[in-house]
Amino acid sequence: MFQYQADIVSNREVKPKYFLMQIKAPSIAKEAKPGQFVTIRCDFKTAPFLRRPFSFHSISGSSFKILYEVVGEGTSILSNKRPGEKIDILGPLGNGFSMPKKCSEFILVAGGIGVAPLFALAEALVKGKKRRVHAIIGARNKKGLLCENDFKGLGIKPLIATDDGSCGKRALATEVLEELFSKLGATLPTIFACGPESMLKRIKSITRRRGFECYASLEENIACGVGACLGCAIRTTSGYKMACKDGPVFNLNEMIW
Amino acid sequence: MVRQDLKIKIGKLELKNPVIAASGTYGFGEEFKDFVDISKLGAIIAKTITLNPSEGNPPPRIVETSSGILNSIGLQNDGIDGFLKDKLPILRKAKTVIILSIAGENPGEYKRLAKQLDKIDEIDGIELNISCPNVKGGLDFSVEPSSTFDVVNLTRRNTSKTLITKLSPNVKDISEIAKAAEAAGSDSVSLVNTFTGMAIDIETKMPKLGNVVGGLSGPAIKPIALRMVWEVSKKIKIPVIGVGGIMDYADALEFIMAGASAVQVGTANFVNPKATIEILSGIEKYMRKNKIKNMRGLIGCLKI
Repeated sequence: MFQYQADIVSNREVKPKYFLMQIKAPSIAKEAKPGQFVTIRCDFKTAPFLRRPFSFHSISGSSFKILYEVVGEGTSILSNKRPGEKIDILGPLGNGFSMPKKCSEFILVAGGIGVAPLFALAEALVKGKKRRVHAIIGARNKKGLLCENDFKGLGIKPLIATDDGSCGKRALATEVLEELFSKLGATLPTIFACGPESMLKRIKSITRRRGFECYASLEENIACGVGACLGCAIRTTSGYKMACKDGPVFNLNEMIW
Repeated sequence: MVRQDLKIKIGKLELKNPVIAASGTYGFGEEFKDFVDISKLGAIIAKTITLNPSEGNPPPRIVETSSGILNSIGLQNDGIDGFLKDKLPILRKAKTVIILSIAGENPGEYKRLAKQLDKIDEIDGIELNISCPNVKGGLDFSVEPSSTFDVVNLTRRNTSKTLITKLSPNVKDISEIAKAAEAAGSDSVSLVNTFTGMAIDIETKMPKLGNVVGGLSGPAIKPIALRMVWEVSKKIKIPVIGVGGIMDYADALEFIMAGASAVQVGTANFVNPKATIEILSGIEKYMRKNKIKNMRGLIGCLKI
């Protein structure tokens, strides 16, 4: 783990309210794994007070990217940062996605900004041989649809679901997931998901019925980020676990909501 | 150049400097080893342990508020046996003074914990958490001078280790509680613990904390904590340890000038994991610049 002032390489609005920031931080980028995250001190004033967590969206060489939605004061400050400015980062934190060795078929299910960590995972998955990677991207509407072309760039044609049908299918990401299952037949894919809790709950009930493993990256308020304060507790079948240190990736079957 | 002497004494313990990592914010030290050379700190106070394991409060446990945070962790811990088996070896890796925070549901539990820890050489001192706002009964001992006296006295009679009593600010007169702790044989008092508070989500109309109420810490509480340290330090002879919203060396110096012999850095660790060490070097620089040779020249030097 490292904490220092890193350099902002770029910071641009990719869709209204959604920003992509590239940060040059060699030591962190070198150790970073998909599913892990960094925390950023958005300002040196006492409000907003805590650091904000962001998962790695893309990792390459000496830098990494984060994809974020402007939802409050912290992200609003971030969105105004310019290339060349410094930024206080801490990471890499948590455990990443672990890839089952025997599995060769993967489905990534993203809801909204939940696509952020799944793209880093897709980048890593396509490097392996004989792997089939499917992606489902869900969004409220076309304006909020993220990363469609980035996935295409990796050779993955994502299935799109929007709430209003302004792009792709007018459906929930989980409905598209069920359709995909029926086409896959007898294969046993591993599912990786990130998105709103309601989506994860539906995925859990769908995958459990079929006996598939599903791992999800969860979002939680994070204080220390290093497992010291026990603030980011997640209720699991084996008691409380910490999102920052034991997660943020959890097997959905162990979650208790 | 004269080297500044930052040593202070708390009970039987000699701390190489007055900067202490506060309980509940520093885990067992190891969580921060990538950022800080922990051996340089005056002491670390480990996360509170109880006699029996406790799973803690339901989430959400942390909520950000204006210049601070509300927490309702609820003393999640493995119990004394789990601590001794799994955590003590980790804690001992920190080559500095090790203080363990303990809490009990009744005086008898404090007694049993003190007795058991008295035999553990790896623990240098004990901080009595009689003021955790997040557990049932946890606040009871610190609200009255008589119950404070009883718990501290019972613990005192069962351990020869240095005892620090951590006081709650959620009381009528904190000086009276501090005097009771002193009379009962506490070697020091640390103040303050968190202020009870709450936050509500107006969309869901629900409390933002799973436990409804929690403890407020961070810069938001600093002026009140400072005033309490100033008042208490005038009324007792044992050393006072100041804690409450200390973010940088200037905050720490305010507490020391108000009468604190040492300071605890807590919530700041979440925002800046190097806060403790930066505060330490800031104090050293200040002393050098102002030609202050030792801590005696700083503690309680407030001019009124």
